[in-house]
Amino acid sequence: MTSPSSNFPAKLFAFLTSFALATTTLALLLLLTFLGTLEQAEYGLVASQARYFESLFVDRIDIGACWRALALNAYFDIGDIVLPIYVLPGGYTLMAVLFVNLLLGGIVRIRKSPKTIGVIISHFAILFMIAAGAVSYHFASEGSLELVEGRTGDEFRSFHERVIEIEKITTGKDEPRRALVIADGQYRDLRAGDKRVFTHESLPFDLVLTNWKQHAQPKRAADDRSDAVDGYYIQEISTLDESGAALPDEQLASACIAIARDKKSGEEQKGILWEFAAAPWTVSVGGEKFLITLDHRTYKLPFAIRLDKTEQEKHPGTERARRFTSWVTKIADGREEKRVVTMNEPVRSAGYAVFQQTFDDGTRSGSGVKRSGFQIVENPSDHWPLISCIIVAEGLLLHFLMMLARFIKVEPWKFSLGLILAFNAAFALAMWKLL
Amino acid sequence: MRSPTMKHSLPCCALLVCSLTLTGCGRPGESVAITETREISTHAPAPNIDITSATRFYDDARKEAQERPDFRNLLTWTVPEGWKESGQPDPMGMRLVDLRFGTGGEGECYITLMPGSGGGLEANVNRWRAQMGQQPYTAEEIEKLPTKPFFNRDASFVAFDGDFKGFGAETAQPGYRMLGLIHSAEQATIFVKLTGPKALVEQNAAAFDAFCQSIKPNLPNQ
Amino acid sequence: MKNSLLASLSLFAVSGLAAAELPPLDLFRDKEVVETFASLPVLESGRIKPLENVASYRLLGFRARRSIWLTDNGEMSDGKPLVDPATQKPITKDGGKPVKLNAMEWLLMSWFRPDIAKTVPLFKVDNSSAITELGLTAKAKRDQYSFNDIEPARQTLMEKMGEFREIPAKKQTPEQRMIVQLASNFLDFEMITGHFDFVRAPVGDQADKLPPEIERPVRLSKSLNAIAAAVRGSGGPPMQIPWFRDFGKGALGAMMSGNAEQQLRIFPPGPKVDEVWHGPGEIIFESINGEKEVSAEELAWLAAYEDVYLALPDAEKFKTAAKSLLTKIQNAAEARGEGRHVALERSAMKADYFFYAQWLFLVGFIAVALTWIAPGSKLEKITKISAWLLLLSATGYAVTGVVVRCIIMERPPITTLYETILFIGSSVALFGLIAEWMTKRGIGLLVAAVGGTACMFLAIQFEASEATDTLQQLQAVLITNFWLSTHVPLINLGYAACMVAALISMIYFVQRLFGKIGAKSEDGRFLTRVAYGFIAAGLFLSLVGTVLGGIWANYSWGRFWGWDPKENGALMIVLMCLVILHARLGGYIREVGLHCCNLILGCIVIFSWFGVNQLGVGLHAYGFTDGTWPKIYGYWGSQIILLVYGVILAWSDRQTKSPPAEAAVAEKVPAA
Repeated sequence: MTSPSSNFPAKLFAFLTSFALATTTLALLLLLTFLGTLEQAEYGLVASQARYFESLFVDRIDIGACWRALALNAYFDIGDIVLPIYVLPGGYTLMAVLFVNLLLGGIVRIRKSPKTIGVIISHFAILFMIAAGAVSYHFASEGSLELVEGRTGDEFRSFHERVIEIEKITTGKDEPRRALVIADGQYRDLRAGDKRVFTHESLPFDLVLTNWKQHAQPKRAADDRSDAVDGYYIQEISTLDESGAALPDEQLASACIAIARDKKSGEEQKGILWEFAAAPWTVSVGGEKFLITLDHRTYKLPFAIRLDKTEQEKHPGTERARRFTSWVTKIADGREEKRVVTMNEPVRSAGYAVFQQTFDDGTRSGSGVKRSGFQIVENPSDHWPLISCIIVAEGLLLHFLMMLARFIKVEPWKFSLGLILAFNAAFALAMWKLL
Repeated sequence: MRSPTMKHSLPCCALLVCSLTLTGCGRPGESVAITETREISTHAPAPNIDITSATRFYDDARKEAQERPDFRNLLTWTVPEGWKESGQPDPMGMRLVDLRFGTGGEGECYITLMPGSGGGLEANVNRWRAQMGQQPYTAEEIEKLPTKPFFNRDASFVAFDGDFKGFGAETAQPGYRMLGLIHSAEQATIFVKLTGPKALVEQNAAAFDAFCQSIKPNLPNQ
Repeated sequence: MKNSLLASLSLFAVSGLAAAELPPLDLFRDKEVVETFASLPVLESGRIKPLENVASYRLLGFRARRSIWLTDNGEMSDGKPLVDPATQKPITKDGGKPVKLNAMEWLLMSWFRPDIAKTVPLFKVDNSSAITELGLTAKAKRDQYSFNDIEPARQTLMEKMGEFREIPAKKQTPEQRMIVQLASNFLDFEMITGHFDFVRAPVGDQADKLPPEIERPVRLSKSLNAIAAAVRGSGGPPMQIPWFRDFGKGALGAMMSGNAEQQLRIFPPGPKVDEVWHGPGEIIFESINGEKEVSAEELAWLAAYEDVYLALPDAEKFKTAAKSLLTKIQNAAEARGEGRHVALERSAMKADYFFYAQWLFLVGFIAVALTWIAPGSKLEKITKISAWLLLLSATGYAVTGVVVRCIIMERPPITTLYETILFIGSSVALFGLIAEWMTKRGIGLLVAAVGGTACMFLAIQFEASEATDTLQQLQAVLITNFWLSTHVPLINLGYAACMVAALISMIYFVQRLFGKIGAKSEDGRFLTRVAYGFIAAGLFLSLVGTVLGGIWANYSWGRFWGWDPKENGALMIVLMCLVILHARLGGYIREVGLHCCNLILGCIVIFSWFGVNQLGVGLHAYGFTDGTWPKIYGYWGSQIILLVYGVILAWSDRQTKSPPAEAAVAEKVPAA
């Protein structure tokens, strides 16, 4: 493939378009997927996703965890073996390399002939799919909104992203409430002893954050504890459950210590921020009050949703759910619109999609209060995978059917196009009849 | 010509080199300006200001739970067959015993004890009537309330039907019935209150009486 | 207590009276009777099914078989026929031969002749130390115990169950798991044998303590409301009523399961009333728990059910009562538009498609093997034709089985792991036959025979180990016929194609090992081309199937890709196919290299198919000895051996020939 060439750009081009690069990247992706899947058992999906699939490089590989995930420890326990080095490129890097390799090798450089049409089409579709992934990674937001019957909401909470928010208490009734937001990437590296100062011109104090813990609970402190804050200290808790499996991310309650330092006097107030706290931490500086919270990130919807009624169907004689349905009113600019959200049938509006996610008919909590949980997603590349899937299916089908035709010695074009037609017709029929 | 294996290892090496040049992000210690703000929705719950750490970390509820047993030692009672103690702490932490009955535990019965007159009979009866969505009783009507023997004396007995909206509940539950017994003494007032779906309450009316009869002062062994 | 009373009564009673009152066992082996009861539609686990299905899974759960011999070891060989406690005569047929019961006959015996049923070695215990721990005398390491064997240790069994159930499943020792399982089986079977106690003796021997206004003999269909009123009117706790204990026990037996979903519900309510069918136990419990009186309609059902029992021991009256009950239930179900597929399900159970498919595949394999004996001879022709016919009919059987299941459930073929095995097995066989039809060189037949046999065998094993109805209602999130009939079959066809490719590569290595094909031989090249074709097909099906799955998730739950283990497994298959195709195009792998990669592909398919479901569970020893992992390791181990051989072959091929040689890329892909 790589024809000997003397100049560097040509060499680089040859490298970037090579089958070698393609094969290596794909094989590394395969390895990455394998390890990332195994590590989920002990690290949870969210952590493993960040480490393997969204990273530039995998910072360390916990071989011990993978070993245990495969239950191999029942034969031989290798203990905790961690490769603490950057050896494996992360999913983000590999996808980027694959994109370049596909574009240059699979579309620009590839020999163009009737024999390769199918391949080129499929390559194009995969490029499109990688692009969709990138767009959705960078620009999509998703979260949940839980409503009690009769209530209205127009915000949704991110599933996994946490933030620290500072809200100034306003006195005016009609004044809109605003909050300053600190993303979790800016403080989650602050272990014990590490500090970072956050400032804003509207605040009469600087906020110092320190001692962040991924999963913790404030505990009442004995008098002599040096790390006590207002009688409490942060007790770190294991992120594994009693059987050694990772707790799901939603059950983790992060915590950190916050210090509000008066900009004028330098006076300090200390508080514990905790995700599961019943109320925010109140800071009073110069006669003004501020609420500081550590919570999931909140996104605003361009419309409000009121939950009018919910209903749950069960398989007869069982507790197994057959269907959840929510009757909602969408309120935008004072106009009301009745909509129905049910399993597999979301409501889409203004670039947002609202899905039925969880359901509580009040029997579990004993309160009798019915509530519905919605998953809300905003994704600019929402429909791209569908388009890409159709293209890749046609492309691959064309290519492989032509290969098959040559193998069984029939006329390739007639054979493959005829079968593609049949395939599409079957699919269209299925869509028409079943969707 | 290079062997395929060698060709193969080339991209690997390139990616490896790449990886080693990568370094971490910002270090702790420096000052960061907050750049992001957001507007809080008008539908969002009102802010809770000046909440103590104990309340923020759910510690005060536990304190009360610790104190409750002392209070409970004042009385003894017999739990009727089929009733059982609620697994959850009650919202105010004031119940001496908090019982549930019915298949899904819809029926609720509890004893509370308040020092002194506990606000008076009239106020308490009318508070209960309000919970059942009923108009308040006049003083005469309160006077005429039937009594039942309780604690070796008479206690005012009430029974209302209506839509029950208990403390802290969002919505009223229709078709409910409430039974209640209020006994005032000089030092304290004892309340026994039972609520639940009407049919269920009627089924358990006898049990309620038996339960009330079983309540006795917990006299220390002399 | 009344149960044991009855049992001991009949055990030791030699009086002619007791024997005369009990119906003969043969009545419950009567074709007509069995047929009638087997066809009864019941609502269980959320769907309407024939009673035979319930009987079958209950028996399967107790002893991992669907039939039982009435001998002292539950088997035909070396077993002495059991003795009928009523007549003290051995239970035999046709002159001394032991009797075998199918599941339905067994259920009828348990209902109507609990005295015999309790002497049958029913409970399979794989771990004799569990029996020792109960203070009983253990038989062999793996053996079967009757209800009466276990009964003396009832108290210990219940205590231990209560204790061990508190331990999380993952941390239980094998003995503890065995005891918990045995205890639950014991209680379940006790409920089955006590099923008609509510007719036999509704309040045990305490009938004289009932309020006098209740009519004697006590029939719940007449007096249920009066009895319930007596319970409510007693003022005190029901347990203080002398007859309540036996009454409650009878109600539990009438329910026939402690699991609410699995209680016997056989009375369809009137059209458009309620979705949930009534059952004898449910009616009795409702009467004492509920607020309103039991309706006349429900009491009529109860009466019809009582009539069946009361008709005994008269065989003719019994048959008439049973048939009239069946007709009533069928008509009521029909009026509701339900139970339409009960007959089809019964015929499917009788046809036992997958069992016969397994044997046909196996015989087909033998036929294929015979074709190798004398290539070019007449024998080859004959065996080849018979292999074709056998495998065609085997595939036909398997495919029919899958289709019939779809019709019964009115949904697409795959919703559970068990169904993937059936579907993939059928697909592998079909792929093999198609490949054979195109190439006519025997390889397709071999693939169909091996793949078909393996999958059918696996399916039967899997069903026995799960011992729950394999036709399950769907979770809410999955109810969408379009995606279930596109994404899921495509993914599974992808698995099948990749497994075919892996199978061909295994065949390649085995043939090289035995010198049937040499390096660079035409036969080798042919196998490579066929394998390559299946990788291409696998890539297409897996890729499109995986992406469709993402699209389904995106349109149903707003999430295209979540990196969850099952998704990752599918992605790994796609990536491996891509690696193979690109490595091949780049010339990094040739013949041996491609086959080596195919073996890895097969390992990945097995991992995605069975392994990813176990990841959470596999952390600890739970389910290890009887679990899935050892089987997966077994497969991986066999592939690694072939792989090592493949790498040696690649190396030796390179030694003998000039470059370019096949580079074995095996080491850079995660093999195991």
